Amino acid sequence: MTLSTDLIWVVARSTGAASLVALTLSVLTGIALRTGTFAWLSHNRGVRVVHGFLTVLWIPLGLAHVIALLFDRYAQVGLIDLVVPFGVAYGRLAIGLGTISTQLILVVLVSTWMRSSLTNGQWQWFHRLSYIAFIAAFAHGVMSGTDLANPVVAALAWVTAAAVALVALRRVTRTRVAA
Amino acid sequence: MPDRPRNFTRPLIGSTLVLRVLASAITLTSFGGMTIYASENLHAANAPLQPAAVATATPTPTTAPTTVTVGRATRRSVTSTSTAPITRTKQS
Repeated sequence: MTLSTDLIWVVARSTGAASLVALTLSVLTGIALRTGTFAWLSHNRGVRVVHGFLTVLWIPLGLAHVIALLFDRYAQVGLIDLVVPFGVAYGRLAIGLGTISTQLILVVLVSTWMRSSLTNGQWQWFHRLSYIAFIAAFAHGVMSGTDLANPVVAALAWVTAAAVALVALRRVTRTRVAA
Repeated sequence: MPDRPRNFTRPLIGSTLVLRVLASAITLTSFGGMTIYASENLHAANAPLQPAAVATATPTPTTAPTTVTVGRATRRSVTSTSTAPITRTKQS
């Protein structure tokens, strides 16, 4: 294995994990906007600012993860696999879930950028796809993530997933908080 | 001046800049930590998904010479003998 192969593999893993962390924070702050879960931490305007700012973090990390995997000879991910999920011979389901997650996130992003030309109801429905995108991304990480075999990394991953689940449950059971 | 509600609690962080720095710190710490961990542990034997290409594309150096030697020995024995089993193999 050459240095560049090792480097690509390290970049793919680190950017994948870090983008999942940033995406988790984004989902948490997004749900907290409606529930006031982080009222102890900051006011709703601050949470909203952080929710928007997190895209600056997870988009480049997610892009770097995808680009690194395109160059990784073990993953064998091609450009077509970014469009058509479950076409990869190696880790078909695990990598396919990553493709699904990427596509859903793209839909959410584009709908956010086009928010002015959508009705509030339409935008909300598009934005709710981020829940499915997060679940697909998390499943992708658990099923294909090399580092989740490490108990510390696995514990962190499950704790963040539990945090999202709890805040989402709070979102369902509590009424809307004014922005 | 209007009275604040009784249950009003001042949030821990008021500055949005501090919040952004905090979010960046969490993300970049995970990125840095994972980079160090991944570079120190390139291969995880107990990972859920193992690279299938390793087994097919890269022969291990310890077994390859043994196989070649056995193969050569077999070929030598085949070419230097004219026993019945080898003749049958060639015909089939």
